[in-house]
Amino acid sequence: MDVDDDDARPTKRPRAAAAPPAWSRSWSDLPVEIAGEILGRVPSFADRARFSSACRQWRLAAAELHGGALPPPLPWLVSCYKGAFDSLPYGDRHYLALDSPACLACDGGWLLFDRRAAAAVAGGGGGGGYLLKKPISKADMELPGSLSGPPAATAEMKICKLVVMSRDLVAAIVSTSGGGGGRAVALCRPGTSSVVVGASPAGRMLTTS
Amino acid sequence: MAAAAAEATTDGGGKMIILISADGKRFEVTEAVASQSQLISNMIEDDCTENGVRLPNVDGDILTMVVDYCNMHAGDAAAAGDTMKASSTEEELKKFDAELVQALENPVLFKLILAANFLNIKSLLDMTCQRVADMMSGKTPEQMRETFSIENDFTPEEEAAIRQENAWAFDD
Repeated sequence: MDVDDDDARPTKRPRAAAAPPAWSRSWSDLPVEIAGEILGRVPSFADRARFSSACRQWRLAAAELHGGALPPPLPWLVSCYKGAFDSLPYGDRHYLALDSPACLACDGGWLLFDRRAAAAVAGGGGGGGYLLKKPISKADMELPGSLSGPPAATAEMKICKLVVMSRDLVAAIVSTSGGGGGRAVALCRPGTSSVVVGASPAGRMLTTS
Repeated sequence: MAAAAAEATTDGGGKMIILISADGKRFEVTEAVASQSQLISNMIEDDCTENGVRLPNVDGDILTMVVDYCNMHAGDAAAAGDTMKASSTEEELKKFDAELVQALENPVLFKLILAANFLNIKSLLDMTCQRVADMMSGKTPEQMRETFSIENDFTPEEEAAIRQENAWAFDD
């Protein structure tokens, strides 16, 4: 039927458009593509999470859409209270268990904590380095605290901007106190023992990133 | 094919098309009205609507609404390039749309979404899905189930695990 042309039309049968018999369904049979149309218009992360807790089909649909098919939900704002987050767009507050004080930086759900500060809160000695945590999925990665690279960059560093590229690569823009200070890009593979810092003048680094 | 091309260029919306619902109801609409459905628009282009367009997964009540919507919006599409379009018409349309989605019972809203998706009428799909998204805002899973008449088909163990996993989302 899809390819019939003007001079070959043997049937008088009305054209039937091929599709599953969907018109008798109900909300619990929500097709994934419609779930995508709806969830794409739900900006709140909490609403999306609760959507996927309604029933099996909705959960399946949300899982299938997870990872690219939807526009990202609006971010949460880290509140000044420990473990409290204010969600957008409605401002409702959510609490996640965090054993660390205020985070240093964040990216895509990952929060970066200083392990020494976290250990101090927990009452232990603790080692150096950083801890990346995803409070919602409870995933975490350890980042080393010791630096290798040009000597000027290996003094105390402060992280200005964090980008979690993947589970294998984390990048940050750091400001370093050594060598007159400046900004540089630090690259780190979680689980390894060092961070590589490239020394570069601040302006150049920011415009090329 | 030459004949089809000639037809396509005489775009006055004068030619009539028959839409046939799953339960056999027939609706006669102009090409301009029917063309708001991308699916039917493609069929018109392919010149395969002359025996009627059977829509086996849209029932008559829903197709009535779809045809009303398309009738109401047919002028809209035609005037899309016309910046001098009367604002009263636009307001009428807005009012019509608002009343349409507000008045819908949930099972009907769902069927209308399926029909808009199947017929590929983007503006209708946008409007109805936005309505559902608005209805979901701030609701607990239990309230969503009530609103949309969904059965909770998780086992108690599964539900407990889900609540545990997203405990933060249930803390209100």
